[in-house]
Amino acid sequence: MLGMKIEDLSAFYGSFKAVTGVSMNIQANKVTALIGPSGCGKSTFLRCLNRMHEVIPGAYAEGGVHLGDQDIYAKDADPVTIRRRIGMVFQKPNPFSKSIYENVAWGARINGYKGDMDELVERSLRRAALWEEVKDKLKKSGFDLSGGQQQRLVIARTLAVEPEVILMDEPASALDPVSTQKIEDTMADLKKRYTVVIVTHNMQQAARISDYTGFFYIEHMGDPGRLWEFDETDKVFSAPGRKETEDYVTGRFG
Amino acid sequence: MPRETFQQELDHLVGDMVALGREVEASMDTMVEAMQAQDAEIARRVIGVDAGYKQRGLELDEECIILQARQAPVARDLRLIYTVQAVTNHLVRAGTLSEHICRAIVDTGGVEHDPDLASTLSEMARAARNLFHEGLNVFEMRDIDRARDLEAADDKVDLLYSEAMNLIVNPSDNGGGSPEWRIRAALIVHYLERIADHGVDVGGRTVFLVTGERMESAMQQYRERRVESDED
Amino acid sequence: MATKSGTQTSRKGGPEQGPLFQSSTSARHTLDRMFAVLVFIATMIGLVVLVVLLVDIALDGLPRLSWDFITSYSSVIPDNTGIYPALLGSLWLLALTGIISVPLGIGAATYLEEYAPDNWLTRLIEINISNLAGVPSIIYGLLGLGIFVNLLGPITGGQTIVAGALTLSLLILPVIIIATREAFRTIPGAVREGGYALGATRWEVIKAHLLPMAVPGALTGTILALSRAIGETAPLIVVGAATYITFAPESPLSSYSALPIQIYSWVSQPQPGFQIAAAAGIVVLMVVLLLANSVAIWLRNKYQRRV
Repeated sequence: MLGMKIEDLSAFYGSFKAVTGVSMNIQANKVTALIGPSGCGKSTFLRCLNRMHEVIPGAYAEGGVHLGDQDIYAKDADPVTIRRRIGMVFQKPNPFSKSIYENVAWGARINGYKGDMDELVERSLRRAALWEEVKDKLKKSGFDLSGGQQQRLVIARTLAVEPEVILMDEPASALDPVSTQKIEDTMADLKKRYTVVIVTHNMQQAARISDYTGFFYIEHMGDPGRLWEFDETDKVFSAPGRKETEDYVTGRFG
Repeated sequence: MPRETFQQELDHLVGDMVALGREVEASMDTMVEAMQAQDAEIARRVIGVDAGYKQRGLELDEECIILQARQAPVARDLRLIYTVQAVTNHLVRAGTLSEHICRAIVDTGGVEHDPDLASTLSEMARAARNLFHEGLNVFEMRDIDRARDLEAADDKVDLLYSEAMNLIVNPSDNGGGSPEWRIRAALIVHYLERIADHGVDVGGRTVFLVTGERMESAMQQYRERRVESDED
Repeated sequence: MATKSGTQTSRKGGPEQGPLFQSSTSARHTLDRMFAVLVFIATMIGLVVLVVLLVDIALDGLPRLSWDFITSYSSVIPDNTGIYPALLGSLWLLALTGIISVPLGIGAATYLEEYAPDNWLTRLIEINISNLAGVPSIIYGLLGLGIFVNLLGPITGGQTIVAGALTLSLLILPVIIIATREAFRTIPGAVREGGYALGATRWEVIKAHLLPMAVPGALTGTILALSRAIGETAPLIVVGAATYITFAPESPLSSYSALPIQIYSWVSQPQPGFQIAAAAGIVVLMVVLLLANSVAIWLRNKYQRRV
């Protein structure tokens, strides 16, 4: 699996600079958590990592993002190919208006998967810890599932295109505690095969599941967000290096 | 500031712990007084305090566990609760040792003493008491610069320890006291040394609380810095 | 402290100062009920007019309605006249207009919603489409006459069904475009993002997810637009639908009549027999409209099972 290297990345919405000067190394086969107050640019930053940011009209990014050796912002880099290699799971479960089977199979099919589709669907659902719950109703609509199951369906759908990195934007924030726990358990499994980056508002979640933690912060109102501290999760949650990080993780913010 | 209730609970916890520490210190003062006066009656006042300290230690411990369960503390909060648990343990043990020493004074009230050894013990008791007092001050003020001085003070206690041991093994010419006294004296010397160590440890825990670094590595850095400045 | 009348005493003021919230709950409820009655009356007025109209036409037209009336050609004798060519002409128009306008409308809406950049040109186009939906239909008739009948006469054959269908398509395109765009807008952005995040191109996302989800909404708009189209008279008169033909149209290049034209023609005759024939014609037109609507609603519900 490949890690990612980000150099001096800045993200814009038109003339508004949302994130500035972020550099970090995302280790392969590790879970990297991004935390920080609302509006500090962590989700924007995440979306820059697979060129989803630029989908928003007027939005663009500057700086370097490398997946392994490949510069994903190079002129000849195709965002469609990059997004297959760097998958993304969103805050609200967004299954397609199709059957459970088709939800998983569609991405693989459009990307030209030539193998045994039934086998791929089963494998992906198993890795997302959903197979046992849906194996008898693969023809049912993805919307028939509960919120937590839908989110695992989205994870399965992401895994089905065999990405190298999985980006998760608050994947459990809309879920109940039991579903959240299942997603977290899934993540521990996922990092064996994938590199995972997760944005979360739940600090305990970051502490529980991640190996590295990045704290995003805006020092003065109206400034762009910055990566304020980046370290091993053990360090960030026991003895962070900067006062703002400590204030944030201990809930003494503002 | 958010988490006000939690902060109040933490402040309360630390207040309770320091209060316990000051009471242990008061027992230690009585112990020093009893040793200097060679007075079993004064020493008798300390007998029985240990059970109370242990009970309060358990209560503090329980409060720490409940706070961890309910508040999921991280970073400085986590370090504070962890430190309170550890320091409480040091305080209770130091209190127990003080009572042990006083019990030894009571038990040897009627036997013959070695005056040289007795005065060395008194001096060592004062040093240990002061060190413990200083350790607690360091915690209360979070003054980690002074924590580094605790080790130097401990060196002095160690020196007195060696001197006392020497007097026990090689009694002076003007009367070595009864064998029973000398055996008890050996125990007292050991207890005092332990009390001093607890004081040093309280300081060390404070260093961890403030910096997140273990005392050992902090001391290591400190020693290396001292070596560098010595070479200048 | 809440009292039975729903008033509250303030926390700061003592009881002797009286409650801060004073209102007559019963008066407020009376006002509420009065308003409900008013809006109910407003609804009933429209409904009553419609029922009266339908009953009046049914009373006049139903006795005249027979299989003969539906299968007969026009005649100068009121009792022999029939609606067959006009009915067929309308069905031809309905089908052709649908075939022409639906792909164009959905295509244009797809471009505007999913591909077009947000700039002054797009906004200009959007404003124009909205305005076109409000242009009187006679203007479209004149446009159709100028372009499809005269200018493109060699291709369309002049006053033919295809020229009429093209004109009606122009008329309803703005409505279809607006309805389809609305349908696209109700699809959450998360669906698009979900597709892109799997490495799909824009077309793949539109084809697999957006169009299927937009179809129900687009169909609703299209139904309304097509219903309007087959009821139109003015533009068809302008582009030359015949009022009196004695043959059924056989291809898009045939001359034709249409139900509203036929009805209009009968109504302008002096003989009372033609008035009754017109009423029967209106019944037929209504049935065609209702049938078309039912089919479309059935189609919409079929696609709308899941959102």
